[in-house]
Amino acid sequence: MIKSEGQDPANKVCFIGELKSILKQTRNWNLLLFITTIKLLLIPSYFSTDFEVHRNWLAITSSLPISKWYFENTSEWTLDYPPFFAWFEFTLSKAAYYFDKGMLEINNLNYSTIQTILFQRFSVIFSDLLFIIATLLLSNLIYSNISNNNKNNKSSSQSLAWYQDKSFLVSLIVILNPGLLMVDHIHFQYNGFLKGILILSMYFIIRGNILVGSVLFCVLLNFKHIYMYMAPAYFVYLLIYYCFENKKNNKFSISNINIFNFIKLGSSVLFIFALSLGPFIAMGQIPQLLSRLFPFGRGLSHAYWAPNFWSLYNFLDRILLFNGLYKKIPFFKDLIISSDVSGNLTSGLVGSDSQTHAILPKITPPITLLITVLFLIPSIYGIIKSKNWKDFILGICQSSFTFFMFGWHVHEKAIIMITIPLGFLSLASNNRFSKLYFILSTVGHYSLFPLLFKPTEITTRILVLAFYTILLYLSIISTNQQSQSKKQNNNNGLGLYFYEIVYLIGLIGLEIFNIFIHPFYLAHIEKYSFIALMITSVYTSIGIHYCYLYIFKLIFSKD
Amino acid sequence: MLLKTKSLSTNVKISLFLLMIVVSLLARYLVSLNSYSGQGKPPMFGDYEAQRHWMEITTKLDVHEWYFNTTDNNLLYWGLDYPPLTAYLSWVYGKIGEIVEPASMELYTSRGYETPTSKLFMRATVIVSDLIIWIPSVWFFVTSFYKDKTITQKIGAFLFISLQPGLLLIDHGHFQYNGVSLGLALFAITFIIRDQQLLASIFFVLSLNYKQMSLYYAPAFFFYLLFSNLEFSFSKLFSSFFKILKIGLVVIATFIICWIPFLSIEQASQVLFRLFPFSRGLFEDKVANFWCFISVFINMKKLFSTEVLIKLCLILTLATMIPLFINLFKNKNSKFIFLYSLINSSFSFFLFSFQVHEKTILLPLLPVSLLILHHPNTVWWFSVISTFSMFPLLFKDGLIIPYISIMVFFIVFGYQYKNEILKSFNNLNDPKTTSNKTMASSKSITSIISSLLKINVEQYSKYWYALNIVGMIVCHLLYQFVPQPSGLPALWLLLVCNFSFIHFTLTLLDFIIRMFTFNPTKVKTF
Repeated sequence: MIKSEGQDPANKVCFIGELKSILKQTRNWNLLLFITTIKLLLIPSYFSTDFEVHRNWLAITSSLPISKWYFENTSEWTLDYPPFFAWFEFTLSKAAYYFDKGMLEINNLNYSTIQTILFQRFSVIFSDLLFIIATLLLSNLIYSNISNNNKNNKSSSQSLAWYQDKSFLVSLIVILNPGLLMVDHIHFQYNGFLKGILILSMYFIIRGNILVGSVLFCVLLNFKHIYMYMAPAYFVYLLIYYCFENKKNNKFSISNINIFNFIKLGSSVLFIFALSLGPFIAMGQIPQLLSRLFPFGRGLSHAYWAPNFWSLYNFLDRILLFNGLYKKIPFFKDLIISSDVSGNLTSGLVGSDSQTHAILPKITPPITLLITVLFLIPSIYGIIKSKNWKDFILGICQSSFTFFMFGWHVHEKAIIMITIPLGFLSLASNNRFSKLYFILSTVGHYSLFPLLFKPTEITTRILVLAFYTILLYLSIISTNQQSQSKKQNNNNGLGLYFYEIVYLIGLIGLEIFNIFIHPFYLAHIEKYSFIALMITSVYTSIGIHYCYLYIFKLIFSKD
Repeated sequence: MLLKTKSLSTNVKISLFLLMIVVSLLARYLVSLNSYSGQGKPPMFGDYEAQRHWMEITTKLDVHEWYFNTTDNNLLYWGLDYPPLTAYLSWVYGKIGEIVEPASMELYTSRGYETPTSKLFMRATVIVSDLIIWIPSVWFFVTSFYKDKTITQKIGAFLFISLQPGLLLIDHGHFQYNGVSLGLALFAITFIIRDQQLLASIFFVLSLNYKQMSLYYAPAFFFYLLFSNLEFSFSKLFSSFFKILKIGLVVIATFIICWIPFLSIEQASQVLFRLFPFSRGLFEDKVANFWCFISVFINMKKLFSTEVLIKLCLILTLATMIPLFINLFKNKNSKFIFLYSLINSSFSFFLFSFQVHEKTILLPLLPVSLLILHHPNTVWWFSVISTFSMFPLLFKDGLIIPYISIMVFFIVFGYQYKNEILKSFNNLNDPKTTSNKTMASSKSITSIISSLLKINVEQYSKYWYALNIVGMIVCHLLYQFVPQPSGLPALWLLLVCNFSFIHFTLTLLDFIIRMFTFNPTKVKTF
């Protein structure tokens, strides 16, 4: 299947050969051991209600027939992922049986014996292997190509020390991602292996096996539908470079339609969806399934505002409301505010899903969709521009970034959907993306801190992020010296401007405020009880906007 | 600070240094997330409760009551049996604990107090102690002893010494403050290396007054200080006598300062009685020492009375210390011989003395691990074995996952690290680069065997390690999953102890041979 797809003559080594070559390197095994040790030590950490969510899904899929999976509602945590994920839980439940049968009972709500905890934690760590292997494959593919082209010497990357080997450093940067550690291995979710499927699909597309890559992406969509954030980028890429491919000059035109490819792609996509949704179509359960998958009843922002555009919008609304500031602005002067929302800086927005804006216009799902589509166009432009793996990855990042910025009910956890693919670019093109990734990783992963609010996890989150940030800095610096791009070596080796440094150091001040000042001096005043969350959201939102605009700059500037 | 520095190389140096600190903290904190000794096991709990109880006793009771059995201080419930500095530190932490979580430090009611926040607080006190004493002491040692090495070599040695898996798991998993006593002892060792003998004496006395176990190092310190100052020529006799007297006075003064509240006969004798309880048994549980080994063949407890046994212990312990006595006399002022004799004396105590606990292996581990850049093979392997010897204790504490993951990590990374060091040795032997570099020149046990058998044993070391690792895995599996044969209750434990004992004895032999074959003229460091 794979060999027949190898259209690119440069791909002499088959997929299995590449897999073997990454398994041969001791440093890759070291990396696997290092990250697994950290994950194993994190097992006793706090876990969120997501733990119970997944336990409940284990119980549902193991003890009920398929026809009841999307109807069961004993627990409030009903099944709201697509069918493939349910099948994944079903498979896990076969192994769970040997750990503790109790976790497979639907009525055992909040069941968390030591065996259950160990089983669920182990299953995350184990399924992460796919993520690690996929990351190693992709970074090996894209970075060894670079060095081969530059030096015409295939063994050059083998003899490099690990701290100079870009392909290894990039896999280090992606695999040690602190966001993934925080969300999967403390908070509890299964993002790791889903990211693995995503990376694998990127890997196949970049090495030229486009059909395999797109099938994997469809599979991913049927595991977790949030990956629709990336679908526009995939859609455009496949359309241009697979369906309307022109082998001579790589230029897009309608007349070049490749019917054969078009049918192949269309039928395989349909096949995957049929596999996933078929049984539910047959049972006539699609409306029920969709209502579970897309609960639009939730509000614009989550309880803790994800640091996106709406965070600033909400904030502006609250500021105008505060102390009747809106009365001084001519446009809003005559507005009548109902008494239950006025006076409080944060209530009504934090802790409730059905908030409304008091002063600024109300936002509805269609509005968010419109804005998202508007901003998607530039990211798609980036893809059309060239058939370059960097532009493809950047397009995926920018597509999910756009949904993150303007989407409806975006969760802060979605930031790792941007930072993980972007991690692959962190050392590319003479470190052109390094600064962007450094800022986004620091700010974006900091914005996950409110997820881990228990006293014990506060230290963990700080240490994990500090460790990663220093390591990232060192990786960038050591490859900088290697490529000797003297332009970037001003002052700090990253080309950070003074205001960027001040902003990043401000995060330390924010953390001190959140840990030491807010809980002791402000939290008990009702008016300010959520102000720490709000400030965190707004402060990190500024940095994330900066990164979002920075990507536009990168898309429109020359390589 | 990180980003403002102008030169790039200093930037890298600073970030490497910061990374080293963060790694040190992260490793400790990750281990500390796991369970501690006696977690949720009433009525006596474990070492964690002992330390918490001491904070409670020292903050709530008058200093003169600390070591006495009174109505408010039941010595049978984790009575204070460590020297005064431990009590003072408990008092300091107890005072902070009273602010952070008053209920955790209440008299009586706080027994077995276990909340997530109080666990966090207790764990933090160990990490803070490490940050204040243990980590600086290791860095101080590395920059003094390995001063001619590169920054990355220094950082490597620092991480290897300060993050010894045994120490990490005992202090931050099981729960103890060994970092404090070992750190103070390491300050003393480093001051000896820097020829600052008065400071060394002060720190050694402080270490002794934190935990009496540091006595294991005393013979090495005593004879080193004695012989390095003793001059037999008539003209210098007086000045050398004066030097020794000065050290003696400093030692006594430090002791007096540490013992100020306990200076009456009644107080002092009670404290001493608490520190050295001879009435227990020959060995606690099963420990990987000589007495446990011999008990497989002879039942010593039935054959001899306790008094005879104590004398036997004393004679054997002193007899096995003869090598250090001879060598310190032969090589005055040799820092290598000093480190070897620390290993010799602490091993002698561990293997032959009375009343040894398995955690005491941490005392020989410290001086052994200090020599990582000189004898990587022995040091790495001993670090593995010493952690292995404590696994029954760690399993009992519910630390199976951290133990296994850290052991695998350490075996794999330590193996590669020691091979890197060996590779750099080979570069040293290259005549082009030998000029100014240094390494200890002495014969190891393997080189002796090699010359006896006339084959190079070194090349088979890989198989030796593999064989023993398989043996260790078998021990773990037997201990955890296979029921003991009915007639032999602690059979698997005995197996573990004797397995470790054999390796310990080999390690000791190796270092004794090194001590005798040590060639001071080839070492240029000092």
